[in-house]
Amino acid sequence: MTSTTSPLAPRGRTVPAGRVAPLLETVSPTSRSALLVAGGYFDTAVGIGAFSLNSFALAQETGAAARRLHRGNKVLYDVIVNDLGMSCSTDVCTLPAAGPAETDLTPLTAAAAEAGTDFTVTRERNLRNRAARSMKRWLREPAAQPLFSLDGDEIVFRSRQYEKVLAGVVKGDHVVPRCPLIVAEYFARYFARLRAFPDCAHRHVIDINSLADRDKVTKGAEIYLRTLGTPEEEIVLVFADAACADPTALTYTAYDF
Amino acid sequence: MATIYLDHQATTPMDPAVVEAMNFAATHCYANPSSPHAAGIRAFREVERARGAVARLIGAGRSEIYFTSGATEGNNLAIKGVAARTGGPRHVVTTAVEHKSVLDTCRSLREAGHEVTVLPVDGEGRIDPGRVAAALRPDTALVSVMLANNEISTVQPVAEIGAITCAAGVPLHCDATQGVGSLPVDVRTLGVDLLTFSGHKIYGPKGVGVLYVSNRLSDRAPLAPLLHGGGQERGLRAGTLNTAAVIGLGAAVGVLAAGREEEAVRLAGLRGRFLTELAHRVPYTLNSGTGPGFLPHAVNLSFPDVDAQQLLLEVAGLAVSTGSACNSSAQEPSHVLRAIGLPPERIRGSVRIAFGRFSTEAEAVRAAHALAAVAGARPPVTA
Repeated sequence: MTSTTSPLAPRGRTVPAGRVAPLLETVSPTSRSALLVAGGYFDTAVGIGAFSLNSFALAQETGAAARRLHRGNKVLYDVIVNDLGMSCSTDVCTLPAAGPAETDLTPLTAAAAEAGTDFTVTRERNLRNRAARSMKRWLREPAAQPLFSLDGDEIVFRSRQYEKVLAGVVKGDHVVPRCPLIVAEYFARYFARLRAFPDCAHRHVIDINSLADRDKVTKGAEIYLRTLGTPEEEIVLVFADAACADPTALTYTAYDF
Repeated sequence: MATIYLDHQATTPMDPAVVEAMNFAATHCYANPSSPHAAGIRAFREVERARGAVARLIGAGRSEIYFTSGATEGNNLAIKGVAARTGGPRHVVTTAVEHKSVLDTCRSLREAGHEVTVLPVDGEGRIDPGRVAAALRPDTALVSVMLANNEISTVQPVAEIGAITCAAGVPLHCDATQGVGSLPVDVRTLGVDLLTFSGHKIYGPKGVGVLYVSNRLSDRAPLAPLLHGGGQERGLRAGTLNTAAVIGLGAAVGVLAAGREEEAVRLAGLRGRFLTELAHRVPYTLNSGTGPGFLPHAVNLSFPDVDAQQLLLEVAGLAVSTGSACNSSAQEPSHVLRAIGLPPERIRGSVRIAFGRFSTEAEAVRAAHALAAVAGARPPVTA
């Protein structure tokens, strides 16, 4: 009979039990941390489905366990909404800002109210436009960020994990950001919010994703951590199926690259 | 009576923690770590934990660690990969006491039109850093120097050589297979750009190894891969990862990191006890040092007028070596012992003894008695 616990997992410390345990493996039980837990992702074209509800519940459970881990921990929640209405690889340059009341969030707000928490919503349309603007700034001054390079009309990120990471495509005067850059953009926004808690020694973004998004969020985590990340910041990429019963967590810091 | 295993420079038995980790891997991490489903991601997570453990052990970043099938593949990939990344023939510097996987790789480069300088060593098997500096040329692509020798345990001045190669802008490769189990290894302190070792020399599984490539080197120009295919290991080493072995290696590294210094002291004590017992019973001559600058757990010695290969045939229940195990089928005297200037009769009588994690004092004493009983009773060897 073999153990069902990874022999390589950190030992000798108290971690919460159950499915949230791997998500909080690296959160300190002895010093204050600021955490943002992103769960509940959904596509406006499809609406709030099983993955959204279950990952939102997982996020709430994770946040509650993080609070129990250390009384001084700060926990924020966010839901990412795909309101692009198309694949992010579609060659569209900028999109009009999202309308305010186009999606019914009632199932999520009800769940949050039951848990006694609140959450913010991040719309991919906004992320995409911000990413496009930042890449346009980079095009004007490429020396400011040497990890990006222009290869024909493609903006390529020099990855240390993947042979090639396409960050965007130049279309005339515009830049079309690709998924990894949009992901890096939300990490940038999340960590900016966590910096509002300067008394917290560590900052963690716990990002709950569907299994299919593994590569794009991993690439986005690398882009953020290598261009803007600081030593006290950590990204926990969580992958789960629609039930979110057995999530798997992969932890990244700038040190890992 | 069970065999007394004192050949830990050839290979080591797996630590029980490694066996446990590999059992876990076999039953829970059988999926391909590149697969997009949950089982694949779980396997990937364990592989990355192992990569992180290796990175911490040698002071590297996780993105600087590549898994290979062992040190031989790692040495081939490091040397050929650097030589091939720039067009045209280049110059490589190495030493006369390197493992065959380095020397033969360099020989293959020479046959392909590259130039290779093989530097001599002193009587202890140590390279003079000044000789390395003098050998560097504008077209030198790589210097390869081992951390510690697999036959005579000499620890090389890698950090001093690293300072020289860094200043000259030449990448330094270090085969750390023999040193990483006993010595603190920090790639930044050593100043190396490439470092290799295998799992089975540190109580891990066979068939898995580590190649460290500094991001400083990779970012300038990536190494040329030897294997092409699925793009695993960031395109440097194609082929589905040996997940169970990688996870076993991660466990081995964890055990090693937890007690390396204390273990080195204990093993040096066992070696001392063995040599004292032996000295009371039979004359011998040391071919390797036993003080600072040598690995703490091993010794190479010669019995006068004794053919060591014949000797080992007559010693029951004792596993030791007459030289590098990799080289023992070569039917020629050890290139390392020749490089330090030993006469043929000393080489013929040489025995390599290496203690390990599960060696006991009683075994050290019994081994000394067993060797002495046979060596002392041997008739003189005739040429």
